[in-house]
Amino acid sequence: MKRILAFLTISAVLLLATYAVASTVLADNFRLPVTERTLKNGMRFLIVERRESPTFAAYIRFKVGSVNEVPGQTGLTHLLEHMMFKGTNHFGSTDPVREQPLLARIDALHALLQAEKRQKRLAGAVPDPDRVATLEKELAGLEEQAKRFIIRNELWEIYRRNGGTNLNASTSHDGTQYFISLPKNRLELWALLESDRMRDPVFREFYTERDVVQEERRQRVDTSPRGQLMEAAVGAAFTAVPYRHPVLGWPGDLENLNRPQAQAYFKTHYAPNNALVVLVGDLDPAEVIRVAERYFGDLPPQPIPPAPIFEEPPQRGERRIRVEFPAEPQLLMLYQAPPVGHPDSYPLAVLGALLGDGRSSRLYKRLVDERRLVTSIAAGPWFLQYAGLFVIQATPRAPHTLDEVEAAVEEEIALLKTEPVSPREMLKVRNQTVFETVEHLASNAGLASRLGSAWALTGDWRSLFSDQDKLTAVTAEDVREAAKRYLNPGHRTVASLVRGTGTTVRGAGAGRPLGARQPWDPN
Amino acid sequence: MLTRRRGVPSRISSWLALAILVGGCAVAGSSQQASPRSPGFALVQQMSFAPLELAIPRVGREVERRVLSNGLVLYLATDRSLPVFKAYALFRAGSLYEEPSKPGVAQFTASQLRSGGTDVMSFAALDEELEVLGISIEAGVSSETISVSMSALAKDADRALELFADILRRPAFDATPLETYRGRVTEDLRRVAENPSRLMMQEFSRVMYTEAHPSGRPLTSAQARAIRREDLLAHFRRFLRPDNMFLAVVGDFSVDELAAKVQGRLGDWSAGSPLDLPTLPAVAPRFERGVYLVPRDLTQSNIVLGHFGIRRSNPDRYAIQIMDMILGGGGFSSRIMERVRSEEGLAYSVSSSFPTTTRDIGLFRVTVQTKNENVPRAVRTILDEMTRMRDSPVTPAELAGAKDAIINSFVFRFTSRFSIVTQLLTLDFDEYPPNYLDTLLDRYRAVTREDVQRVARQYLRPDDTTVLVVGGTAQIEPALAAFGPVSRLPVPAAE
Repeated sequence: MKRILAFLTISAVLLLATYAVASTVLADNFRLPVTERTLKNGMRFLIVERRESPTFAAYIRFKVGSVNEVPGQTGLTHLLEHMMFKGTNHFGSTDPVREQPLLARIDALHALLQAEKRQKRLAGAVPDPDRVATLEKELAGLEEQAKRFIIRNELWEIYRRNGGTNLNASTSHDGTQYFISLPKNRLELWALLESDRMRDPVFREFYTERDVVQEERRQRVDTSPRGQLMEAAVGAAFTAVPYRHPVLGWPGDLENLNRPQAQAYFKTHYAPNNALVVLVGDLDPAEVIRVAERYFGDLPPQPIPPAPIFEEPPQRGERRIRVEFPAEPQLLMLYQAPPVGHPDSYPLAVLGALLGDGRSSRLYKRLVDERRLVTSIAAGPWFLQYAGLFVIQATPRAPHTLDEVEAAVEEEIALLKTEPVSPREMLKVRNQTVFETVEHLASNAGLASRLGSAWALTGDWRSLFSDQDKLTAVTAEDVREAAKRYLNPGHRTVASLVRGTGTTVRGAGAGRPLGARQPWDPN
Repeated sequence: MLTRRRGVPSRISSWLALAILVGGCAVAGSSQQASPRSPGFALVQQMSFAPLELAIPRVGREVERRVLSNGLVLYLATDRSLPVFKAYALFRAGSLYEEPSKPGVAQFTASQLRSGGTDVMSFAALDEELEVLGISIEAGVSSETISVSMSALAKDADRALELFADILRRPAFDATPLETYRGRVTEDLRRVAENPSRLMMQEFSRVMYTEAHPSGRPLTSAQARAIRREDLLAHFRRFLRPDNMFLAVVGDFSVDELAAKVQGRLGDWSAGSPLDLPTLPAVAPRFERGVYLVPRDLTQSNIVLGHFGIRRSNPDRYAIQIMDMILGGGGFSSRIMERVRSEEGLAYSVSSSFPTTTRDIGLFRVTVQTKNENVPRAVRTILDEMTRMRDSPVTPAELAGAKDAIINSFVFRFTSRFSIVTQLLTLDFDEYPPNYLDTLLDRYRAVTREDVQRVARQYLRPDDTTVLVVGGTAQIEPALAAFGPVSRLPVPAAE
């Protein structure tokens, strides 16, 4: 099993000859040697050699996203991602052995506190303030003791001292990703640190990090008009698929998550056979595989729970929601769309580019330049594992109303359903798609994350390139059919952000005319 | 697995590996204040790494510098990695160069260079052709510069450069896109207050620089409405000239081919009258202990605190940069992040920034976002860390960590030919000496713990710090008084 399975060529035949404005030059330039390898424990590696600079980018993805969370534990995937930076049985503590029982006692006290403060109330009883105070005091003492062992952010410090850049991680609805770029001579260090945190991470400082994530939520959602609107709109657009709950979690869930839940979730999902690794850069594949087997090879595989099956039912009629917030109006229109890889996803992607990509795109030209109804507008599909949305987002320009903007968007959509798109416009969109892809793939980190994401969502990293062919093959007629099938009022959620305090519920319905002079709430 | 290391130490020969060794000696040489470490850390310290070859790019090697007869300074480099053609132009024409009576004109000029069409092509036709060919041309503005960047496929290089040159030499500043842009700017200004971090930065600049400096006078809707096409033309004619221009061109061509292309499109651009650059307004630093509260009814406050810093000519800048990395600019390896976020759980975002590369004096700032009730505690913690940085030397491990990070990540500054060329061009534009990059790492290596403490004492002023809070609530106002006299600022209204 030591043999390298294949030397494949990423050959991106990006454009058909008939539309060969950008065409063959690009096809010729993503011919990079790719090595694909699965370890005995099921952990999969993809190595792309690109030797422009003596560096490499590493990407690890676990197939677990917020879609896997159960009710009451939303936000757990993302909090776990934070906890993966808190050290292991080898790193992050001066004495992991003596620290261990303290962490267990802290968990137990948190559970008692939660029982006293919340579960008692649920049962109709009244929490005992003296008992709460006693528990909190005991907890504070234990946390103080545990602190003495902690070495904070040691993973970051080691990577940084070794020249690491872009150390980060992200959690999405369908996956959890970890990134780092390093000088090429640090490959073995990378393997050591990453395999170590897959083997036995220690979630120390769990309850403090839970506070940090609550601040993250306040920053991204609670104080952001766009964050508020997006969370409410997505929550309304999905019904059966758990994409309806935010990746950051509902606030009430978040403040009650505990360490044993995170440990169980880790145990279930962070198995080597549930992980994908993509390495791009100045690397020797044989050396990478040797190092991978040495460090990751003995991680035990586990049974992975079968992927849940979710299917969004067809929508029967338009949904309208209204978010009140002390801010100027914004509009979000979400049309039901198919999941990633669906045949209709390609014409919808072309449709998105036609409507919203660049200064000469239809919505920009019409609504920003000609009619001056909005200051900015974006359109495009959002394809996820189990379902998708086609998103249009607009920021109106006073004194124009959300109703006016919505009507103007409708007019452009109606045009797409009746008049075929001209060959020149189709050509423009094809070229834009190609150039954007090339831009994203120009850096090692960009190529690694695109390959990893394609691999995880479709089962084949080559889909990153075959998708280009499918996009290129989309015809003007396909675009018109897709517009007719998907961009209908009965299949959408229209969300409006309107000025208000957000504390009182007033009348429903979007598009309340907004005057140019709205006073700011002084406090 | 941690015990399975590579057993044979590699020969340490490159300057990079040597640098690590020097850092290691600094740690070993000091017995005091040994930082606590995990068992794993010691093992990692024993790992050895193969030497990494890194040639620091130089003019005359990877990159060629030429000056055209019209004064244009040209940086050229061949890049065979992708079939692309890229250009990047810089002019001394940013907002500090505006007539004081015409605020906003630099921003409008930059925007309309790209959006206003040219004498030979309408704005709509230009947008369409660029997008059909997949050519990107974008203009930007800063306090010092107007920049214009371009990227295209190599096979379209000639057409791309022609359009690029038309935009730079023959902009039309058409009235229609100008009015569209004006409307977008005024709408954007109406929305400043709904983005708390943007409002915080704007109001902090206003408080610190005051009316006396353009940076203290954010653009108003009335000013945006007053800008005329003639103002754009005047700014364009005065500053967008070949003798005020630095241009980098990189692509899948030989250097001579690139030079010939540029000569063909920009060589006959005459500078005309002598270049007349104004004296720029100078920053007059002023230190004030005080608190400004911009009330917003939100669950979380945005806080910035800071004071004036240094300009790039200051020889202490290397020590200051290392000091700031340890204080709050080094991500998770900095003291403020460790305490405010990791230890106390007060914030998701917290960091400091001590600019050391600005021409004039910049602002040292710490920003943090935390729920309202925690604002006083977060501010106190940050001020305490500033004081601690002054009162005691950093640990040898902290200093070594910061130096290692700078030295070992240096290679990432040169990952593409285009980034190499634009860096060399920008250093030249900013009047750095030609060997700047060659000696840069030595400057950092020379910094000692004593230097770090000395610059902390000299340049960090916790007792003269201005605090600005967007958010807050009436309940925390009394607690804020501990940090200086509290003033309320009005929330900018949507006009």
